[in-house]
Amino acid sequence: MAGSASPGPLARALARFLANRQAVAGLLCLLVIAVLSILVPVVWPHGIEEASLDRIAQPPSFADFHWFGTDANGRDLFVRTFYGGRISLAVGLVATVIALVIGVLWGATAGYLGGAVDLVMMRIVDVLYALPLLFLIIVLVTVFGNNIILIFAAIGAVEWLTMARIVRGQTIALRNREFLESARAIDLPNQRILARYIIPNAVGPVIVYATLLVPINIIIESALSFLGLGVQEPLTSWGLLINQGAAQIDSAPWLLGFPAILLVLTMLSFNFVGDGLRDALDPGARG
Amino acid sequence: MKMLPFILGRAVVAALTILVIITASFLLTRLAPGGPFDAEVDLDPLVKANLERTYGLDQPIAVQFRRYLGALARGDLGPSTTYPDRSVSELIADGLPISLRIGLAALAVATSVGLAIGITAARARNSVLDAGLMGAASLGVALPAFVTAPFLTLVFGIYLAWLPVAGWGDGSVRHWVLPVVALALPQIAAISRLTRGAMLETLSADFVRTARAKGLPERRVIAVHVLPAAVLPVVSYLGPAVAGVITGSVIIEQIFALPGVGRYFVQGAINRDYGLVLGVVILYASALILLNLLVDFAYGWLDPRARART
Repeated sequence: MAGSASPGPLARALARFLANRQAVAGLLCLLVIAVLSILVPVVWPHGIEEASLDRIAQPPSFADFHWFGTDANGRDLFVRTFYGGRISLAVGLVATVIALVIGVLWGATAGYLGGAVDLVMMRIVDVLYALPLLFLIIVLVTVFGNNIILIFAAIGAVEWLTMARIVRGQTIALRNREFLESARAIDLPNQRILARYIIPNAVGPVIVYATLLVPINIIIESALSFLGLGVQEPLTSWGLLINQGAAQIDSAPWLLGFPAILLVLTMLSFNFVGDGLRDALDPGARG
Repeated sequence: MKMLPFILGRAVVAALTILVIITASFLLTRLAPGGPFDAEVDLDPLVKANLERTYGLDQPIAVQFRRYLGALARGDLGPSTTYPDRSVSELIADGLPISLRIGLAALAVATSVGLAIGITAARARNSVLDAGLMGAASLGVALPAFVTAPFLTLVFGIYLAWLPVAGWGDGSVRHWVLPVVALALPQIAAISRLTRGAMLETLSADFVRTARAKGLPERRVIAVHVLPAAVLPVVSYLGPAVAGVITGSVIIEQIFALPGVGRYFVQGAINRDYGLVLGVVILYASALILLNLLVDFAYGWLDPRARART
């Protein structure tokens, strides 16, 4: 095929993404945080539950590997922060996948069927949109108990609304496009039309929004944990660490500072990567 | 006049929506496994049965729902299991004035400061000032309240010791400042970005060029021609802004130990107090739906194009 000689759309998107300094910096930052979150709890000389009474609420120091200091129980904050990162990142990613599945199915069904079904389905989305979603998540967590799997599910079950709107819009826009008619006219099989035209055209905005949804979900998990409704001891997450740090902000401000910095860095990085992906995957949306 | 059917139609949909939300959240709390009485301590089965009878939990769901709706119509949201000597309606009546004052103050601050920043940035577009303000706004949107609030407390409450760290005290303004600022910050950031975008779009519109061509002074062009058009997106953002303030108030009231509705809500959620959680959700969901209805009407009235369509 002629297309294989010149760089394909994916290669061009990749080149556009790599040319975006903010996005690349964000991606590198995320990689570092992810690798540290995976490795630190394994290799660090201190365990997450290892408490020592002679080192209570010590400020950060390089001696003895307490780089982020210790908490009120004498536990090492460095290992706890990256262990919390594991949970926060996991909740962010899994909740996003759940929201993605619900949103894509809902939006594609509404967009594809159209008519009254579309009207009712999108009216439901409108109504849910108007509600304070954190309240719904808290109701779900209250009712079903705050075990960590249910937190994934509760966040995902509420945060799919924008995804559904995006996918519906994409489906409707694609349904009547000329290039699809041409593809049908030259008798391409449906599978090939889907794989070559519909999915590549719909997947860009979905990936972009999914990237932007991860930090939103991390914030929701953190807010829940902060309120005491999310992750519970002995597990920990950035929200829970921030909560414990906020309680001792006058005597041990580093307990709030380090988890908060990591949380904010992660959020900004995801936003930069998401914006970079939007520019790279969706050339039409560029200003 | 097609205005009346439009208003009526919207009002009917809003009422139905509220009814659906009440039904759905009621069923959710009643059908779920576990109840408020199987918490930490194992209760004697007899005591538990007694408690359930007291709260009407031994009746069939349909009966419970009919009772709940009937009481709701009289403004009674039922008993609270967390605060056994108070009803949910009493708790909300206690907390609402505080939440309302903090929330409205935060909205007023967010709208006025957000508009001012957005207009300033748009008029100085592509300058250092614009870049600085919009950079701060991007950060403000990204920073969650549970990070900014403790830092504000640290700086103004502890290091500078200008303001109380927490509590409602006598309800004087000193106790409001930090919660209101923490609540308003993300909304200031969002509104200023929205205003700047709308201002820039309007500034390059044909009718503004016409106004300038007529020789109107810049100040008058902005005040009479640009602002009314640039404010529209902010009006339609009011719904999400209120939702954001309500959500934020749950966290802010917790951090600053304010006895508002959000704090009761979190206490209720921690203790699986279904009556309390349900009451607050119904209150806030209804308030938001009604507000969105009002915003729709206001928008139709403010925007000549929307007026023409209806």
